[in-house]
Amino acid sequence: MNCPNLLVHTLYADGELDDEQTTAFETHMSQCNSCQARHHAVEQENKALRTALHTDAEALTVPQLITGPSASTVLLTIALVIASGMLIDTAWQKLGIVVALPAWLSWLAPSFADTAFTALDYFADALRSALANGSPSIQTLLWWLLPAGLLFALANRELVSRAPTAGLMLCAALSLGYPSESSALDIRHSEDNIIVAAAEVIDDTVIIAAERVIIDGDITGDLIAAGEKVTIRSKIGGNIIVLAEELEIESAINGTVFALGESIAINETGIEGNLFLAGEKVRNDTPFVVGGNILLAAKDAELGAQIGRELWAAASSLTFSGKTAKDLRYYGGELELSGTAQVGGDFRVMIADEPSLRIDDNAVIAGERSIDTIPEETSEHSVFDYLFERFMRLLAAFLFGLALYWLLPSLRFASALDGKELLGSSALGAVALITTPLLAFLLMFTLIGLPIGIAALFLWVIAIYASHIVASAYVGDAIFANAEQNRPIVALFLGLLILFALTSIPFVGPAVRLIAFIVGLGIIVRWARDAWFARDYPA
Amino acid sequence: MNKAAFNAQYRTHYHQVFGLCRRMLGSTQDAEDATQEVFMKGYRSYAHYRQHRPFGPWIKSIASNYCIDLLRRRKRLAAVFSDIDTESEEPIDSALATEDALINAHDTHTINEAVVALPEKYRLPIVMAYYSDASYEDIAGKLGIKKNHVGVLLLRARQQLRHVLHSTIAEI
Repeated sequence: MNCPNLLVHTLYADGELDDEQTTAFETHMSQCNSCQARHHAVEQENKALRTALHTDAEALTVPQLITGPSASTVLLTIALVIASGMLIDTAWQKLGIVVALPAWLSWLAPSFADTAFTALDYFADALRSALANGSPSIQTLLWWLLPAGLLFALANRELVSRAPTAGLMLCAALSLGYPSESSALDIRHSEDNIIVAAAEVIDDTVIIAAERVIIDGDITGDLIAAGEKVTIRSKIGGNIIVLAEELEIESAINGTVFALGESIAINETGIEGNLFLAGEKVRNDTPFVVGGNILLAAKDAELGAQIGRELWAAASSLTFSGKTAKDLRYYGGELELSGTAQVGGDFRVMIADEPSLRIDDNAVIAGERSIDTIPEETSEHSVFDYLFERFMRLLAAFLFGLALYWLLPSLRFASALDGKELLGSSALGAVALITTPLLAFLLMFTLIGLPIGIAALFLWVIAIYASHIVASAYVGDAIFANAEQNRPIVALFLGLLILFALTSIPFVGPAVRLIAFIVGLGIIVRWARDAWFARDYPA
Repeated sequence: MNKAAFNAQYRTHYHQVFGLCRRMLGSTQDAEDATQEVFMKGYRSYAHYRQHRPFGPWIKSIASNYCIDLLRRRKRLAAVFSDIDTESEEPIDSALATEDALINAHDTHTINEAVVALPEKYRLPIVMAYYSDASYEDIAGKLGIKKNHVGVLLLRARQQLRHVLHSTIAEI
């Protein structure tokens, strides 16, 4: 055998020859002095290289650990969001394919959709007018950026002190405190009265908050109002969202109405879209017309509306004297259909007992009648029934937990927190528990749009259920923390068992449940935040 | 995620990661930024890091990936490694082996300087092999070249080192 070349020597020294080659090489080397010398030299050289590379001449000071994204990343993200919004809008305009879009997808098409109430719509409009008109409408855009910035700051507390974020938030805050007459969004607030006079026509979307709100002037856009007493008596071009202790509506509304109040009175009103009503007392003296559906939740309600589609109601007591073109569905206590009542479709009710339902002989029901009584909640359940129910719930939670951790294994690692961190994330959980539905509500009705708000609420409901399981896993993992073997499934089951037992104790149970919600939700929010900002996971 | 635990790991491994970045990128300034970036990536994916694995190799793997990405983004690496196929066909000149002992004759500082001064195509494999103790297969995977070429690159890197160090001796 000829002497192996230098490459073979290097490979051998680095342990990169296969077994056969190694044997051949070693056999040769044992008989060849020059190769032994060369091998020795290569080894020496390797050693010298390693030593040199692992020696640092200068002493290093370790800087503070930075864990948030850099300012440039934040700005880049914002720029990307804005650019993509513009791109989407331009694409929709150029393509103009809205004709082919089914109704349930129409919210995707900002420039052509009939309903002005979509996320992309606000976004695109704000951008378009900002570009076309300059400064006044930039306020709208900043209005949009403010909640985004707040959420971002919440998720990245390290960043709050950073200059660019602070500057951005400052701009947004300033723009809010500096309302301009010609802005696309009109915001008025006062501690006592705000009256939009009959002669006044507001050409925008209006947000009004005051103790007493009276709207006599027409509004072409949406109206968002909150107050102790709110009266609306004019034409509204868009949708209405109103929150009031005492609410009176007597107007013509082009869009949909969401109303929440203690006492709500609707008279001589025409609503093109749907009517969502939730109130303690709903009164209606003169008939009014609704083009779409009515969804009603109330304690006491009298309704004489002419309804273009269906009426769905849940109430302690409802008197209906109006007309529905389609079905009437009811769930709750007393229901009275007066002599003028007409139901164009089916009549489906779930009612406390038979005497609670009174149907006048002159009332007309065109479709099927289906009347069920709500099964009584009795305390006569046997111990077995109770235990069986608890067991089924435990099993469901366990299966859900298995699926959850199988789908998202990183969620399990994310719950490895020390006491201080647990406290921090619990605070995060408490904030999320309260703010998510509020934010979702605001999103739904104001700035970002209905789909995102609904999606957020949906995720929140899932997170609420999952929080119980995550908290159980945390308890289980804490018990197994010092165990030699990792038993995630047993730990999950044990945690669930403990939490189920604790929550079944009278008085203590609800408190434990609340703590579990908050702790679990905190872990989930923390995990979601980390997962969102982590882009690559080395194996 | 346990930030305190991560911070402890950060303090322990900062030097190694910084050293790796500096040697791979060839610049102290770049290395400082890169090290921060690497630990930030590490922090974000710490929840996905399996605790029973040693932290050092894990974070160094992130670091070498990041440095290679960075160099690639600067559009230098693709061109650098594209000529390897033709180069590896050249016969290995074993005559240079007679100067093997040269590297040993230098102090660590001079050797380090010489490594940093090497062109990227030689510097990266040398640093990965003898600083992070990566196997040829790892190096090949990260650089997107064939495993056989790693040996050739390492050999040529050492030849060049000897050459450079030889001239420094001549200068003295």
